[in-house]
Amino acid sequence: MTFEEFVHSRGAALVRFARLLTGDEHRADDLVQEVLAKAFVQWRRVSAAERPDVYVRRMLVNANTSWWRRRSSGEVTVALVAAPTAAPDIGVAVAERDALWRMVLALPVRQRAVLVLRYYEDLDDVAIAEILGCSAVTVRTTAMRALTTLRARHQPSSSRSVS
Amino acid sequence: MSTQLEQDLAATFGAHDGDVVDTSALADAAARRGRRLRARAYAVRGAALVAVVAAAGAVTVSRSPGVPGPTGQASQSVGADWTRYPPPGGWSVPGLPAIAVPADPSRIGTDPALLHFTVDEWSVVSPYTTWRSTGGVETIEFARDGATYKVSLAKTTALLDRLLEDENRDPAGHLPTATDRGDGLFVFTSGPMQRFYYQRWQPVPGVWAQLFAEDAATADAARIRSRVRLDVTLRCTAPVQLTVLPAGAGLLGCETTLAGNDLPGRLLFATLWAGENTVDRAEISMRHAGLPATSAAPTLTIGGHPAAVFTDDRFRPSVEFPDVNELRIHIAGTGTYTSPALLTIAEGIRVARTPFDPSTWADRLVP
Repeated sequence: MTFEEFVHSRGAALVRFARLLTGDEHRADDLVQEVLAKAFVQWRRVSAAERPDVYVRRMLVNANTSWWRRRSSGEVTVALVAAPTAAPDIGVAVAERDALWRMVLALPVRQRAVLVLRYYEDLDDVAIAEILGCSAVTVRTTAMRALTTLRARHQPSSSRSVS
Repeated sequence: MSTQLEQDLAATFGAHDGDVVDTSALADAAARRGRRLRARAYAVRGAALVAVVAAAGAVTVSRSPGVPGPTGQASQSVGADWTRYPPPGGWSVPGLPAIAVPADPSRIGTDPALLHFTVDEWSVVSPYTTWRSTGGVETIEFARDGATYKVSLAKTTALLDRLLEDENRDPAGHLPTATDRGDGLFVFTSGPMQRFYYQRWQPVPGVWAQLFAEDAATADAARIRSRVRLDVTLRCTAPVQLTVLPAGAGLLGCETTLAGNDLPGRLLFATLWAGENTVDRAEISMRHAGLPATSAAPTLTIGGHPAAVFTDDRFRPSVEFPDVNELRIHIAGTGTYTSPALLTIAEGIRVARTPFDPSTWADRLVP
């Protein structure tokens, strides 16, 4: 598979994945370009991998993590986004989804990556572990931490009466 | 509630994945950037080579590509993340029950219900610890300060080699390379993309130990090696007993993960493997009923508990109890272990009254 063929077949998925990882469309585009540029330089090695897609997605996760480490400030605080919204009916669902999205963005990058891979990419823990370069137990634990955090903060109006 | 959260997450991600992507433009832009990157790399490497050659007086020197420096710990914090911030008094993982038999390292790997070693202090002062015994290898996995460690014991290096291969994360399949330090210690280092290392040594004749450490200081290795004790025998326990197994089946493996904090309760995950071999077997995994899972609505009742029969997300035939005393039990089969065998196992499962309190679990996984 050539570099161009790879980008045509997997590029869109990579960009969408990056958008969810970063929460910023422009930075996502830049991140994917940066990672694909590095992949281009060492394409012979990348394409020789059993699954180049896994290799590149791992590069993407690592690049995003590095970006976050360099950027020490600017975290979204949950206190900011947890304020209740008063929008009625369909607006409530949209507002809740938006609130949940901002809570996801406030999670540590690794936790967010696990959630995106699990609930957007629909991958199992073994596949996620392969991409993140950790064990399946670590994936499960990371997901559990993230879900525990979200569960404590996310209370959709439709499920408030259910305990 | 967790299912609702899962659905909300999927919907939220679907709503935020953005517009259509122009892959032609992306390929062009990435290739252009890649060419610039390559040109710069050649220039830097060339300049470095010139400088070295000049300094060394025309000595041929080969340089490896630059290796990024050590990465720092992430500085983000999460409010009440119990795995990151210890409870008052610190983490304390309850140990597995020790049994009163003379310690015998030659029994390592021979019984999937037992472990024949412990790692003092490190396995206790940890947010969570996993004990695993299967396939001739016994493992204890723990964490500290963002690093994770795994100590595995086996009677042959071939078994540890296989572990190394199973755990290998290099997409190209390259295994870490070993260096014999000459003092009985073999050190395996990973590439710059992966922040882990392995060490292998012989704690007693006839037994090999392997330490896997990720995001960890190399100095930790010696401390952990000194804490490996082979004078105990631990029983691997779980919140269920398998009272009935298909003909010819036996217990093949056990894995239990306990928390170093009262959550309440200590169980995080447990998995048992039962069957005839590594292919024809069932995997019985347990975790809190509130945690997300791929499942199906219950369609039958087994032993008084609602159960579902379905194919899981790894295409394995499955039987699941969604909630028995707050425990979700998923039984998945491979090879000849299809629904009939799985239902046989399901019918014989006995669940502890308080599954999250290990002190209440039965001593034996298979009576």
